[in-house]
Amino acid sequence: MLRALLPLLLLAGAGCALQTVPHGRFAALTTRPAPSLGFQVEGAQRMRDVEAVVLSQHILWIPTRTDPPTLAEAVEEALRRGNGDVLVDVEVDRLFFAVPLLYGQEGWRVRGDVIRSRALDREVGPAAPSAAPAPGEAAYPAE
Amino acid sequence: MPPVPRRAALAAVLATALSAPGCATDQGVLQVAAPRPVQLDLREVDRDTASLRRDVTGRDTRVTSVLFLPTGETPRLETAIENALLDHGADVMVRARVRTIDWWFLVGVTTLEVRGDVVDLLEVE
Repeated sequence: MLRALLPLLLLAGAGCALQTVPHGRFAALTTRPAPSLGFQVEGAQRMRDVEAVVLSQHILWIPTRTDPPTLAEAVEEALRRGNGDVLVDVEVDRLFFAVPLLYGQEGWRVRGDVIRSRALDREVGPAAPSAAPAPGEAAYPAE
Repeated sequence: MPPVPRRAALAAVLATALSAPGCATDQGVLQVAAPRPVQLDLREVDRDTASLRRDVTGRDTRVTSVLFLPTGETPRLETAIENALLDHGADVMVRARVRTIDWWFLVGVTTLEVRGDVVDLLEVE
């Protein structure tokens, strides 16, 4: 029995690899519509090193969510965490991990500085103190 | 029902085999995507002379596997956007719809496609 399973286990183990595929570095990314006068970033609040990861998992080929994780979802999540409307100095990575036939996960990671432009402040009011760390304060600890 | 010619049946099976194992995934819309530093504050920009080109497409395509063995190649978002920008001498993409298109039949091919409008902000500074 074990002999029969061994090749399968070896095959499964051989595919275990966490892949982080870099998709590049961007000066600016956002999913929020640009205000007609653009993003007024001079003097705006900036939260550094905000990271967002969206993942989907597959267990025995059965996905744990109905829709795949998207890049736009990752960017939106980072903006929500940073309480802003534009990401600057952004790194985008695709994440992939699989144990063939048994388990897999895939998704996106975006990491950068979130700026709350003054246009957003005028639109919805300044950020609440609890949701607005001092400039330079990371929302989440670095890896 | 008349018999289907063997060659036609074979062609139908082959066409199905080639077309079935593929999928396109919508990755959403990026309202602004700038690989290079750009001016985000547009108050000083003269919109009348701004250079905007609509419905521009950029792609990056790679062979990702051969006979189920990964090649280590993957398309990059930055390259796809740069391709769209370079074709029109622009420096920022707006309203960019991002899609990944996977296709595999003996070899795996992945395309990352961005489609949107490109703006040349340098031109209007």
